[in-house]
Amino acid sequence: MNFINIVFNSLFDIFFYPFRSVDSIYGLCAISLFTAIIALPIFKYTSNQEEIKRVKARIMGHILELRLFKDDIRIILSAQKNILKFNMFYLRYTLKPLMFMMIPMVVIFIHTAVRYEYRPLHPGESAIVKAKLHNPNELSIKDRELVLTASEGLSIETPPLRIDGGKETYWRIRAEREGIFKLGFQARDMEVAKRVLVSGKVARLSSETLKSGIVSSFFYPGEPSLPEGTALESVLVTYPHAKINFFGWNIHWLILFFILTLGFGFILMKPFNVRL
Amino acid sequence: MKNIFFCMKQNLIRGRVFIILCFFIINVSCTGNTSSAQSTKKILLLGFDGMDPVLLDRYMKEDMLPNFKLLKEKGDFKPLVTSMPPQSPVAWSNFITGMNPGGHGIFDFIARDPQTYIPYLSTSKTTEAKKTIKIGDWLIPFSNAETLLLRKGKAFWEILQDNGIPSTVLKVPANFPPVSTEANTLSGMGTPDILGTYGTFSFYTTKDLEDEEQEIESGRLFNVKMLNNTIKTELSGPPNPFKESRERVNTELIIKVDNNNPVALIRIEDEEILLNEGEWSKWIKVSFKLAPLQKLTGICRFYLMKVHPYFELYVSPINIDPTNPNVPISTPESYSADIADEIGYYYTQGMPEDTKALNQDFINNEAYIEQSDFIINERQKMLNLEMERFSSGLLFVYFSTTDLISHMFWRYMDKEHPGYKSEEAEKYSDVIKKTYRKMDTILGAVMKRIDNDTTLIILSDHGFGPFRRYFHINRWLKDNGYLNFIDDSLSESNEFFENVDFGMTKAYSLGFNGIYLNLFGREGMGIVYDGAEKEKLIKNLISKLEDVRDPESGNQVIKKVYRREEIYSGKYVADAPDLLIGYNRGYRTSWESALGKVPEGLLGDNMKRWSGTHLWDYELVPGIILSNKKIKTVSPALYDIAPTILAEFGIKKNTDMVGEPIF
Repeated sequence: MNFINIVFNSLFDIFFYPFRSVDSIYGLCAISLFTAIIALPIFKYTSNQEEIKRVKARIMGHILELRLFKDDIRIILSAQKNILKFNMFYLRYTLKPLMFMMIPMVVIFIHTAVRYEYRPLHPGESAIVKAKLHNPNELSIKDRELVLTASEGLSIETPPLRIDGGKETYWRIRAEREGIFKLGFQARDMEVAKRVLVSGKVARLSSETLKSGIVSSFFYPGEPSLPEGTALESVLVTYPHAKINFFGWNIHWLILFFILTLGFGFILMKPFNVRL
Repeated sequence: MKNIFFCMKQNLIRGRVFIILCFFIINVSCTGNTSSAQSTKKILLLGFDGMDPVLLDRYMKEDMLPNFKLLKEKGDFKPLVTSMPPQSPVAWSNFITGMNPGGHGIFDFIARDPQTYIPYLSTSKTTEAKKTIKIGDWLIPFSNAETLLLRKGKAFWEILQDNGIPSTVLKVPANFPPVSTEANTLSGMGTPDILGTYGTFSFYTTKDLEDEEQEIESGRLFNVKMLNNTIKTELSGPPNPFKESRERVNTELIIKVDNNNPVALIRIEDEEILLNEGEWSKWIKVSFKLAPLQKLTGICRFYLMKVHPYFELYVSPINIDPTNPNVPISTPESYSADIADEIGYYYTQGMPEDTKALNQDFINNEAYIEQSDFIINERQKMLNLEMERFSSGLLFVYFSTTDLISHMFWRYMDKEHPGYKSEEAEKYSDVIKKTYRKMDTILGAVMKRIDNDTTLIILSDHGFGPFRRYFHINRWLKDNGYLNFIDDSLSESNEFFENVDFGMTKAYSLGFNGIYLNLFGREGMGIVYDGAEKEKLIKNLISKLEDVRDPESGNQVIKKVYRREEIYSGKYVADAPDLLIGYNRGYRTSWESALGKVPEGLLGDNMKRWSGTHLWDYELVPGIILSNKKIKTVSPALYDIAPTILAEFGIKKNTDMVGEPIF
């Protein structure tokens, strides 16, 4: 799984490279356009375009029926029933292409999220670091006492705060200057490293790193999973949420991504000769 | 085909002509503005509340304030005549309107309803929604609650704006809610927290207390229990305006502490904050659910006082959220959010430094000083932001810290103060000086950025001095037969004249410098008739009050008592206290008397941390004025500033202004 992540990370790093220093909206526009370009042919070749055309025409016909015979309650009720029926048919015909589209969409979604959900720390900013032990009851009291080290460029501002019998340990770190730095978690004679990014640019971030596993590797591709044999279940750096300014409004990237993707989809529908 | 090309060409030419015409019109109109003599003129005003001329002069002579010294040498420095009484809302209202209190109607921090003798805060008033429908305990409002500014008179920035001069006025006192204007304004002193008070902090402790929850002066004290290193409690919000019972709306607060280390994790809504002992948090946004689809947001900061052996956490008053204010705090309304977008959250509460918490030891000196520095930093960010945009007109920025730090740290530099402790003085005697130095740094940065078209004015509303002894003025009125009790077997009367028999009372004191006569026809239970009786009473009071001596030192307690007609002019003189008390150096009305309490004893040592004051006779506590222009007036006053600003822009002062231009 880590190999697949390396491949995808490299591809998306190349894609987003021109947008790392500009406003987030440009990168989001680009990935939305790319998503629309990928999704439209998938939709075209995995759906029954003729049937979709027929069903949509039937829906339109019944909508016209509603307008033309608005005084005849019997026809109106029948038209409404038919609109509902053909809508169901339409949904059925779109279900298959949507299943096919979901695979690249989820990959794109995850790799966009690791760039636009959070932003790197700025110099002078603080963040909470949280480490969770996998099964603290199986560990001795000494082994539950995690030790955090930080590379130059980061400082640890608080002593450890251990809660729930040592299951969770918290620290607060501070970014001193720009760069890519390392936090080391010493747990049961084994050190686990986590990357911390301090930058003003858009970058691939992994807020949380989990124990090795297919699901965790797939959904948290920003950094390699925690190594086998570690006592840790997860480590987390609370990066600040990224703000995306869209004509003066702060909008969550996901909403903007869907709006833009749909928008590009509709614009490119005709050139791609796709019936949605 | 030729015709089509001809038409296209014609359209293109018409289009170009139209664009050129538009450009020309815009250009001409812009040129018209810039050619005006007024458009490049700028006035930059910095208000340092409570900056004292004696201290300023002393620190300049010690070469501690190079930028103030430079400004004095290049321009001018004079004491600035303050208002009577020299209280900030009164003084800044003089500054804002160019009038004395008789013109703007603000006579004290506290005013009273003559019918009920009940005090209220003098600068603003909130009325609840008039029309509501009740469904069970729920109240559905059909009109808005209103907040009114009680200061009368036109603010100078309104006049500037009427004359096309752009203005930005940040945090000026006595301007809440901000007067409707096109100028950019942000309200200052007088702006409440989201509870509607002038600042109510919360304090959580695991120390055993009598009650789980206690109301304390300007705060709420919570006795919390710790279980498995966890405290589960609530952050107390405002009374719910949608509920008839007005029950408070709260939000969950969970605190986790380490067994050994002095560190705590605070969880509130989605936010987690990790604090060391003795550390302030950043701004935290909190919300309170009032009704379905209705929530109120505010911002607050946490200070972790202690973790072991017992836990103590201070939470600042919950400030109005500048990005989503529930009451107007700026003009235009979006301006408070614009500032927050640029500099982040900031204190919106009128007097943000928590003097009440320090006075009662709920925070310590270090926490207070850190908070003051944080506030200075915020104001400096606002100043820098507006300096970037400042190309013409007026810019005013107000700094409160010089005043409040002088109130709280005066005793450390005054060996005659009863609260002076030499061991603490070693550590804190230079806190006020350091604050003046910080202002000097701000001034230095400003002086570097201004051009030759800018008139720079630095001013304060009053000076400062020691508050060594308090005077229970209502006790003095009682002892001298002017005020009587309902139940004489009781030795005291509580706040709001609880035990005072107004049917047998001739005079009473409310607020920090005023005495009201219990006039027949004006007061609810007035017994003093206008005319000879009133005149005789006034003469009697003046002569006896000016004769009061401190039995411990023999010092005169009151320097001078003024009749209101003697010092005020304008439409609202009739609303003023009948007599204004000008205290002598070192003395002041007690806190208790200001709220209509009649305690035992007449004079006493002030042992509180609130150890500096300016509530004296106005001649004893002038403010300061410095400018890069020569000041021609021999003795400039606060009410001269508004006419001066107008004159600088070539605008005539309003007829109701009593001040005159000083340059």
